[in-house]
Amino acid sequence: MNFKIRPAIKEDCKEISRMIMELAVYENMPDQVKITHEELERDGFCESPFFECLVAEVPEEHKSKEGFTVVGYALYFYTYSTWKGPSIFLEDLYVMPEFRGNGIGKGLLCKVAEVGKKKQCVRLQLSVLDWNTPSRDFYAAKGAQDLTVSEGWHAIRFDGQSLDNLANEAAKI
Amino acid sequence: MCLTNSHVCAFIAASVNPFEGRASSAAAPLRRPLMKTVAALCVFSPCRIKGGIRQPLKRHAVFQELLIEQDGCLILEKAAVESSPEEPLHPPAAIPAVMDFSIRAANVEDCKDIARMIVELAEYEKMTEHVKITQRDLEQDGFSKNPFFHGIVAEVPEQLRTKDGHTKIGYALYFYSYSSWAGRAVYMEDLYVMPEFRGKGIGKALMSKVAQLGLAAGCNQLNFTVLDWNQSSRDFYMSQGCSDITTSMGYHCMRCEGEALQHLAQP
Repeated sequence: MNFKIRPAIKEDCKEISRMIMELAVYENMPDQVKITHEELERDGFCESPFFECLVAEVPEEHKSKEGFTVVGYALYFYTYSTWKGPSIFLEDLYVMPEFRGNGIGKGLLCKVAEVGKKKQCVRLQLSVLDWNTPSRDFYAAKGAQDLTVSEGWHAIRFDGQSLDNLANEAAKI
Repeated sequence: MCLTNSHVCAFIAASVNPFEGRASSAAAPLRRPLMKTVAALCVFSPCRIKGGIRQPLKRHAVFQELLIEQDGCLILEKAAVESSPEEPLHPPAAIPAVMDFSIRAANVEDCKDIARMIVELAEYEKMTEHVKITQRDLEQDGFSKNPFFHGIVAEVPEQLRTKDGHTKIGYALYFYSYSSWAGRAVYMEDLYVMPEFRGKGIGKALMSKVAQLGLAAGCNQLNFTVLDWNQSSRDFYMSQGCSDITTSMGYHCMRCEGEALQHLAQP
């Protein structure tokens, strides 16, 4: 299938937001999505963006049944490993179901790796849900290691009230 | 007027909180336009805690972080400030005695100690051979125009220095990240306190400061990882109210590096 991968522009945020929701539905967590295209526009296209994004686009003649030509995206940001140096974290990788199996997902992943290489990033990291076997197999086939299984790393999070409570402790210092 | 950190946090929460879902001391309408002027100051005011009473330092505000609106975004900028020895500080409040320590933003001169403590942390995690970063790398990567990370350092006074003469005895290293579901987030890459200074509230103070800075920058999550066998750290984090999203939601941490990454990156 004919497709191209390009950096996202501000005007893509509505499409990216649509696909973020589709990915959340796939991951059985649509109620977790709290941001809209407005936050994406503000946070991704300012002077010091919080993230970068690539989109996959198909020509008009291959548009989806709803008429979309932007059919996949990869959202990532730069991180730092105190052991190895600059790294990339792939926050989201998504291709609409009807466009899967055409190499678009792999194309997006490779493009992110290429971007990282140009910035001297030494690692590409991401997280995947344990039940998501197709994705786990996809990443394993590309040489990704599962650090939770191999080294015992667990992802920890503070948000909502727990984050506020923690931050309030700092005011007492 | 000298601002306490609690004054500043309340001001920030009331002034620049256009983000949905965050608790605030003032009612913040959803997706309110950003303020056009300098939004708030977040002043670090190191203090000493001696004998249960917080003793104001004669010099304070090693630096200040400015939260400003630029191009529709909130930017956190640092600026060195002159501190006035004569400036009165807020009245001391009685706090349970823990230990005499202060927390401040890391500067480039701290990289030697941070590099030392990175190796100590790797030794604790039984992964010393993985550390390739040097002091010079930290200086370049953390203190250039577009730093990859930010750091905060815990310091004790000279009379409490270690047997090797160190007064910088803990650190936290963090950077801003993004959740496509929740928006701005902060990732804490490292949190470390030297063994002889543990159990005194320093680790908690460092983590709380990262949370405070994250909230001030509009973040809705603080994320990090911990090793499954590291029970003391896991217990510590759980006691602070966090979630283990590997256990509860099934997230696995994945990594591509070395040859696998080189192969992926080929055009």
